[in-house]
Amino acid sequence: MKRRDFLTIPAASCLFSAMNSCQTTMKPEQTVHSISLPAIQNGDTIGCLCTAGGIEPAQQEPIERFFQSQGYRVRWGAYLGGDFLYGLSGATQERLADLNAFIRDEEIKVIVDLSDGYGALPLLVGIDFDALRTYPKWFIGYSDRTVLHLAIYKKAELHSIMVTDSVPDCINNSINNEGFPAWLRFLRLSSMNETPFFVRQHKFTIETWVSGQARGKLIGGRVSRLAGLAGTDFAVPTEEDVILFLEESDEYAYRVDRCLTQLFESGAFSRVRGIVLGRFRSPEDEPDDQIDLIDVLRERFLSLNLPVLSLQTTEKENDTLSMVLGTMVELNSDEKILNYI
Amino acid sequence: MTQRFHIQPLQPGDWAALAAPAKSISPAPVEPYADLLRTKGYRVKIGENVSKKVLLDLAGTDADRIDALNMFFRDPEIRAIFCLTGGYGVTRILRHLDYAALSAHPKIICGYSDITALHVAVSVKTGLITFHSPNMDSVSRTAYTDRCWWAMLEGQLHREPMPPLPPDDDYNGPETWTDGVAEGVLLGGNLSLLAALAGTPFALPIDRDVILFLEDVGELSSRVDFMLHQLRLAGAFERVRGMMLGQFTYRKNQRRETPELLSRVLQTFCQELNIPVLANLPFGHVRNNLTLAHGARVRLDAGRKQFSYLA
Repeated sequence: MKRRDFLTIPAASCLFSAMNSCQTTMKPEQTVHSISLPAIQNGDTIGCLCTAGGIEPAQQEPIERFFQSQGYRVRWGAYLGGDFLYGLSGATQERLADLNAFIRDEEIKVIVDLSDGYGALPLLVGIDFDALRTYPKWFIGYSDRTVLHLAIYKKAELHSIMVTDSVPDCINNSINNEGFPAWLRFLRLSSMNETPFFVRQHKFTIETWVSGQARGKLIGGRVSRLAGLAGTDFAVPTEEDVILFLEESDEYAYRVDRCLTQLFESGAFSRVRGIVLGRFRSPEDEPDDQIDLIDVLRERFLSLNLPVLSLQTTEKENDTLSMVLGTMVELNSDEKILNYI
Repeated sequence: MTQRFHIQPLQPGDWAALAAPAKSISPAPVEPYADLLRTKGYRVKIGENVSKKVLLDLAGTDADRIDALNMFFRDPEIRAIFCLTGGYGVTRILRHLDYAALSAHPKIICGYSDITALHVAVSVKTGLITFHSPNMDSVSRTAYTDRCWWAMLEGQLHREPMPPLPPDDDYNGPETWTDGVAEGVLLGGNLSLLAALAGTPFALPIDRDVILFLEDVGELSSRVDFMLHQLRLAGAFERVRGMMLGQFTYRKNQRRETPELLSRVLQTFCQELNIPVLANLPFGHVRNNLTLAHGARVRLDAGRKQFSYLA
């Protein structure tokens, strides 16, 4: 497998051009697993909740006003600002009750999970996936919500949008810049004329680590959370081809390696056909560790004989990497393209 | 898996091996550790890899560490393997270890922290009892630690499973979190490593009744919560009949993090299990580190704050 030299190029140009060519490369038999959730309409209801850490009461109002200004109604979960254990918005059963209430509510078309930090995992066994199948809806989350995205895909066969930056921050940035989050644009369009990466005008580094083409379901999220699902019903699927997206923040290199070991040893890579690496950041208290972290990734992925694309973004640009997990994608690491198919 | 209690106590003149299956001991010299064993009358072999150092401070490549450990497993002369240090690296090599050779030539294995993964893998693959004990770089921290360790090495498994600690300002003795009595195979170790084995061929076994012992060091309480739920979701608690919690040292210099918060997280989780739980036992990443016989059958009496090894 040949390895290209690393390049730094404006991502927007290449991914947007890929986007434009999307329609022409699409073949009829590939549309089976297309995006099935409808675009949201004016007047639809967005349900905001916290499955883990709570939010400040002061954060609620601007978020509500923002969604209203975009033409949507907003409903809030009952447990948002609690301080249970390490800052959870409520006890497990309380957070679960909020989530299931929204899932069972036919009117709610989008669930936006505002939580940061650990806390979604204990909810998984109690989620009403039957109701989610009955009333399929969009789910927007980030970070620790990796486990929810996997669960939604595996138990309800539903795709969902994983934001690679804090959801409240995305909304705040949109308010301040008079724009709106990339994922909201996607919800409005629900269109295949998008790349899985919601590229805006930013430039960031895309590196072809291993050249090649592959297709499969786009699955992924934080490495630590994917590893945390090993051995459970919510693990990375092994019965279909997968394009695996990986990212991690605030973890030391050895921990990321330990998680990758667990993923390999638990068989999570058995049907992985291609890999997309997002942002990896080790904790700031040991600057040298970041170098080890990249070395770990290179050691693991350069020799796998799978196409590997690495997208190293800066903190600010990171929400541009939000993506629809659970959809069929095609990866072409030579052309630095990831397309829905 | 049938229990195998035929580990022979160490005798003066026996061969012992110093191993580094995870982190390198470099730049520390290995000789002082060898001397410590020699003064006890043992002959010592040292793994070729122990001072090598590669990415992530591993004591050599995976092949280096695999070869060194397998050489010890296959050597019928070697009666005990002492791990020098923990760190990280054992989970990378578990698949390549010669468990058949170890089974054919049973021997004592000592260590903790990252070595937890080795204890569990050996138990799953061979049913052998191993010793969750200080690594060589943390022995001799206190008289208590050494006393428990040597007693175990010299075969006094049943005599006094948990000698009383001398009264200490920092330690108030074991706490009954949930009353009750349970029996099972004593398995466990470092929570992070047990969680890292979930879903792999070396995960905690669920084919036998288990008394699970846990400890961890410097982890966020939220992460401890995640790992406990991860194990539960992976089914690891299916046959756990009782819990023995050692020392969970909290992550310092982090917002919110206190020993009390960590304790509340553990208690909240344990309450849901409805099994006997004995907490605050003297083992873990602390100076007084009680040696435990991993894989031995035990009877836990949480109410009486004690446990005993069963024949």
